[in-house]
Order: sequence, then structure tokens, then C-alpha cells
Amino acid sequence: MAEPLDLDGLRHEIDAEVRARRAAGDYPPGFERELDAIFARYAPPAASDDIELVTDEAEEAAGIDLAIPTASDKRGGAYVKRGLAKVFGWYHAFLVQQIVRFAGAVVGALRVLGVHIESLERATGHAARAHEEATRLPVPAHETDRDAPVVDALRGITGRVLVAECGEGDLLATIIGSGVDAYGVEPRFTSADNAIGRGLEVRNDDLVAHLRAVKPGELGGAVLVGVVDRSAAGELLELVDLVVDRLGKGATLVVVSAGPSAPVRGASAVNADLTPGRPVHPETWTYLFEARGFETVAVAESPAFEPVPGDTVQSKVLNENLARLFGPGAYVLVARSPLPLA
Amino acid sequence: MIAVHQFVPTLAPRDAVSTHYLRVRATLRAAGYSSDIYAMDSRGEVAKEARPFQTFRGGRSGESTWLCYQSSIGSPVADFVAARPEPLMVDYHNITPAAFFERWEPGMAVYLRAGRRQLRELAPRAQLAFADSSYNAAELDALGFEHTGVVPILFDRDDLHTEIDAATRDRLARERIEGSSTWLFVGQVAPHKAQHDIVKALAMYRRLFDPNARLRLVGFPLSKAYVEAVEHYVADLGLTGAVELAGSVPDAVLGAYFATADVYVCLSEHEGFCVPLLEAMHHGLPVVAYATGAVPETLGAGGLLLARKDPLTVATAVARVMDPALHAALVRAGHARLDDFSLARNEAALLDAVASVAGRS
Repeated sequence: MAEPLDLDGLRHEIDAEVRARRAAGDYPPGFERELDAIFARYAPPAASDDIELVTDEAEEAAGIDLAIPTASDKRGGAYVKRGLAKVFGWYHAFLVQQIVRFAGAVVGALRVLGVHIESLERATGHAARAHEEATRLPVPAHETDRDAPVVDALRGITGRVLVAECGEGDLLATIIGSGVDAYGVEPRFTSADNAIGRGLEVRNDDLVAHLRAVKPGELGGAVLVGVVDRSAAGELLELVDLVVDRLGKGATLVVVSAGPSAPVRGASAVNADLTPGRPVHPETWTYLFEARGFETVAVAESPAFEPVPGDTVQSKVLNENLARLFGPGAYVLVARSPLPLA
Repeated sequence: MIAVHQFVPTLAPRDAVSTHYLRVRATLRAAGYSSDIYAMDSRGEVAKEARPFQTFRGGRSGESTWLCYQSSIGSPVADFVAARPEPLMVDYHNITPAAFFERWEPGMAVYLRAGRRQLRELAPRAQLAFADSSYNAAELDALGFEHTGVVPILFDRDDLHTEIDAATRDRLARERIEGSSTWLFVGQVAPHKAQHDIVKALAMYRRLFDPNARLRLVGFPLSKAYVEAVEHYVADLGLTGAVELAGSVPDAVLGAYFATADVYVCLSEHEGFCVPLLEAMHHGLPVVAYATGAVPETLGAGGLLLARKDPLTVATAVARVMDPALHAALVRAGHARLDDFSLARNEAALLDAVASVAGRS
């Protein structure tokens, strides 16, 4: 009798070998990207990439042949087709002219739209480019001082907890270590891969795409990190709608934010500057969650400045003025959905 | 007498779903139902198996007549059954999301969207809707069908390419280099089947593990633009000669492709069931597949499912599968999995589903 196959074990072995090969530089790091770039040369352009090119293609397709094809592999087939073409030629021409006129009008409308979209993109600073750039930026360093309020908020929770974006998995590992059933979502392949390499359950996916695949009410909690600090206003609203829908009754929602006035240097500065959105205030989350039936139950803020030490009157006044000047720093906000009525 | 007539957009030879239609008819007839197939388009060797759908005038007097719509891309057949007075059941094999075709074949995307819209419109009319996988059944639920169930595709191992075209087998065997592996994928050449990802993985595999490895892609070229892109890709990667796009082939030729391959690799982005996985298992090929759509449900523990399909992961997985002991174990696992799709069991599921609304014949 043959041993039963351990497919999970095999997958883990394959993942480990892939990570080892990547780490050892067994193949040029740019090879994968090069393979993608070669295929992209032959893929049709996406509408958002080059609307002019797409419109040109549509225009080309709109030109329908007035001549009816009469070639045939069958004996006598060409004669029959030529005869039919002669009989129906007027009707074919009548239809073609109408279709070409319709298609021409649609292409014309597309061109007008394209001009408007391009001027809109110029006016808004090419948000699509900023998004693309954001996907290449490094994951900001994990700030451990925000872990404790997150773990406290999730204590005793029932159901699965989504941690997104989980980066290299530091916060996720801490949450799991506290006994919570949690998994992560991370859009950056390398970070997701590193987190998986630590034995964590992490999906390499875009958060919104992942949430769309989750059933309504399925999650016991969600911890939102990273994405909340770089999404444009419209994207934030969509994200809030989705995550609220996927959480069950009595669920806990935690937002971990660098804060709207957090001082940033190094890689975090690049992240802050080259992303379409910016961190919002805790009051904004409260407003958004309350409108969707959630209640903000705690906000743990860190100052956005180095406080002046001591408890003298002068240091107190200085710290109050610094707080006025710099506003709130990083924070952890906890909200809860109401439990069903008994 | 109870009649259950199928209405299908297309009945075509060498097509898994068309084979299912014919087997549904045979199963219903054997169980005592009256059953015919009405199609918009029937072609090739099976052309005579269907009648034009417009010729349907209703059942014979004294007969309780049901219509079974075999859902597909947008088709006048759906509008026809929607307007008929007879009670309706729907059999769903999945409609590929139009997004896969938008860039490549905008015309096809229009038909796919129309198919989904028509399916939604049929929901209030249908007394029953069944699908060949839970994945597809979940889509029916989402579209608003009230009574849904799963009836796996009627698949008979005995039908599978028992004949092997000797000339093709000899040619493929001659092209083989001793000690190197041959990958196989069978399916329409189309964006959602992601043949370009298999080519990409092969490029990585040849670089890291086996410079003489080959890939054979068999299937009808559904998207001309996509096929051309894959051909250019193969050429640019220096894989001309190592990758063969064989097109649609007769059963005996397909048997030769299965007989001369070492591993079946499926990296589709979307599958509603994936019959070729069963064929690969039947032919004793270990399966390496990307876990998407209904693939995990169909493959079960019969092959190696991958959560990611980056070329390094796929190449590493195939290299592991080429280990003789693992290769043999996966072949055994595939054969064991096939037992779950026995024809008798699936025919019984179909008859139970039909009887639950139409009554037993």
C-alpha cells in the first residue's frame, strides 16, 4: 500500500525552495519582470493606458469591407458566392453604410471623451501614475509601539480577523501570538512572500479585490494598516463600505494610521509624498464609521512631536503649544459594530 | 410521458460541454423521458444530433414538457426559451467573465456580457438551476436563481481517446529528448486560459532545471489576437521549436499528445469545471494547476494545486513532480480522484435533479 500524498507538505517544500532560490539569486532578479515586459509588448493596450491608441483601433475596426468575400475551398463555391454577392450586394452595402456611420459616431464620441479624460488627468496630477508608483514603494518599517492597543482591541474576538496590508507580517504574527485567528493580505509580492516564509497565512492580493471575494458578514474583525494612509478620498469611502459589509455583528474594526501630521523621513517620506492620498484624522474615521452604524470605542494617539520632558508649568505650556502646532500623530482607532438585539 | 428538451446555443464536435448535452439526452431517454436537442448552430459530426431551435412548437399532446436551457454566451436561444410557456430548468457550465476578453476580443466580450444578462433574466422563470460545480452554483445563487444544485458534468472515462494516432505519437516521440520533460495543456487558446503564463513558466524551467523541456498547447484558437501574441512571445523568448501550438485536433491525435507528455500544467485564470483535468488524470499524467475558480473543486487531492503561479513557483513545482516517486504518486492520486466522477453517480444526480421538479418518468 502506497503512502498517502502529503500535498500540503509538498506545497510548503516548494514554497521554501522558491524562497531559497530567490534569496540565493539563482536567477537574475529582473528575469521575471523581463518575461512580463516581453509579453506586454504583444498584449493590446488597456483603455486606461493609452486611450488614443485604443480609439485608433476602434476606428480601424469600424471600417467594414464593402466587398462581399467570395473565395471558397469547395468546388463551384466561388461561383455560387459571387452570384449571391451580386444578388445581395445592394443590401450588404446598405447595411455596411449604416453600421460604419454608427461606428464612426461612437469612435468620434470616444475621441471627445479621451480629450476630456486626458485634461482631467493633467488637472489631477495623474493619480493613476501615483498609484502605480505606490505599488513599487518599500513597506514602511513596523512600529511596535502600536501593537499593544491593537491586540487589546481584538481580545476575545470570535471569527476570523483580516490584517491588511500586513507587510512582512510583524503585526500579524503578534496578533496570532495573542491567540486570535488572523490572516493577512498584502499586495506587494516580495513582502507577501516573506510573510508566507515565516509560516503566516497571507494572500498576495489587492485589499479591495480580496474583500470583494469575501462573503458579507464573514469576518469577526479587521485591522487596516498602510492602505488607509495612502488612499484617495473616493477609494477610502469604497474601502470603508466594503469592509463594513464583510464584518459580522459585534465585529471589531481597527485602523492603524501614521496620522495626518506624523513627521516622516527616509522611506516613509517617499511613501507619503508619492501616493495619491494622505492619512486622515481620527475624527474622519469616526464620522465614516458612525454613518455606517459603527461606534468608535477608543483612540490611542501618539504625539507628532518629541514632548519636552518634565512636569513643570513651562514644559506643560510648551507641550500644549507643540500639540497645537503639529496636531495629532500616529494613532490606533477601534470601532465596533452593534450586536444584534437580544 | 414527461419530455425534457435541451436548448443549446451550439452543438459542436470535440467539445466537452457538447458531449455533456448528448449524454444528458441519452441519460434522460434511458430513464424513460422523451428528450431532444434544439440548437442555434450544430456542426461537424454532431450536426444531425440537433434540430433548429426555431422549429420547436411545444410538446406532444398529453405530454408534460420541460425545457432545459444549457446556458452559454449571449444567444437568441435564451430569448426563445424565456418567451416559451413551458416550465424551465437551467444547466449552467459557466460564462467566462467578459473582462478577460475586453482587451483581446471586444466582440466576444459583448456576447459574454449578454449571456450573463440573459441568465439573470431567466432566474425568475426557472424552477430549477443546476451547475457542474459548487463554484458555478454559487454564481447562480448570486444571479437570483432560487432552487440551485450541483450535477457534475456527465463524463465517461470509456469515451476518452482510447485510439491513439500512431503517426502523431511517433512524431512526438521522435521530437523528445531523452531525460527531458514534456508539458501539456489542453484548452481553447484564449486569455482566460493564460497559455502565456505556461510559456513563461517553461522559460524559467528551461533556464533552471531542464534546457530541453518542451510544451505542447492543444486547443481551438478562440482569440486570434491572443494566439498571435502567444506566438510572438514564444519566438521572442527563443522557444520556437520548444513550444507547439497544435490547434484543435481529432480525439485520436489528442490521445497521442496525452500519451507522450510527462506533466499536465494548467495555469488558467478562470475555469468553471475544467474537463481536461479529468482527461489528464485518466491518461496517467500528474497535474500541476493554479488554484482558481472551480479547479480546486475538480482536482481535489488528485494533483498539485498552487496558490501562486509566478514562473519560479510553477517551474519549481514541475521539477519536483518530475521526481519518479512523486510522479507515480500523483498519477495514482489522479486515478483515485477520477472515481469521484463516475458516470453512474453523476447520471443519478442528474435524474434526481430533473425528477425533483418534473417528476419521475
